[in-house]
Amino acid sequence: MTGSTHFARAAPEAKRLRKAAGDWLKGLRGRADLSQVELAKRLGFKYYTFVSQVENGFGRVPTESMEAWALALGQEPAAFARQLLSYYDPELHRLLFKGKR
Amino acid sequence: MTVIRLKTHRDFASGPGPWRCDELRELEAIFAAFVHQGGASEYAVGATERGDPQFYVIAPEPDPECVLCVSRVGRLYLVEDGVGGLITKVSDLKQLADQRPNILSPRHRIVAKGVAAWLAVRGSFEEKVEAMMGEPMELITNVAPQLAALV
Repeated sequence: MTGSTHFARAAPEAKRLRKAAGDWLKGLRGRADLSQVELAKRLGFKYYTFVSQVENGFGRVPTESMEAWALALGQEPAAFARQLLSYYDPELHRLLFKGKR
Repeated sequence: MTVIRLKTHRDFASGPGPWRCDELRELEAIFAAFVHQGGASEYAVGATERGDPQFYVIAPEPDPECVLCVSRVGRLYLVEDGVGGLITKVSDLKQLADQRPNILSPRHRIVAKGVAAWLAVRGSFEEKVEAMMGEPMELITNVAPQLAALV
């Protein structure tokens, strides 16, 4: 069963990007064959609800825990953080990695 | 003899599934208090992959961050900020107004302001209406969002 959301209003660009980040993270979790609860356990969370919050596009992976998320999802931390930055702060991502993907 | 066990309020609150109307009224009252404080402009509802419902309070533009997420997991309501911090957990949404979280960050300050405003609105109208009405809490629950927006 997948999580679901319903916005009370139309979502502008920042929200669209946050949702896209959530979808990307959900895809990584699916490829890692982890449930939200299992990922939360790997990250040391007492409750799994924050994983759902992030995947639904209503929360962000804190910078200080990006490495832990990357490793829990079997990703290389630098590439993982760079991809997240493209969603969370696209302008900074453009400045830092212009011409790079 | 056949015993038919009717579900109690607590039974309904303990399983996954969408928000009930009474829960949404409480959550919308919290949201209205946030709007009044300028800390939110909209809300959204969602669910975890297990079907546990979530209610998101979202800050106004240009920084539409989630400032509060309320999730119902089993018999608990978990209140988290937008970066994974657990603010509080309660077994009844009405208790949320009484939970004054330790104010450590601006984000938590906004949460506390919203909850305090909600409590103030409820308390104020409870006093005024209780003398006149037989079912004051029900009335307050129904009108709190509109009243909070007017205060």
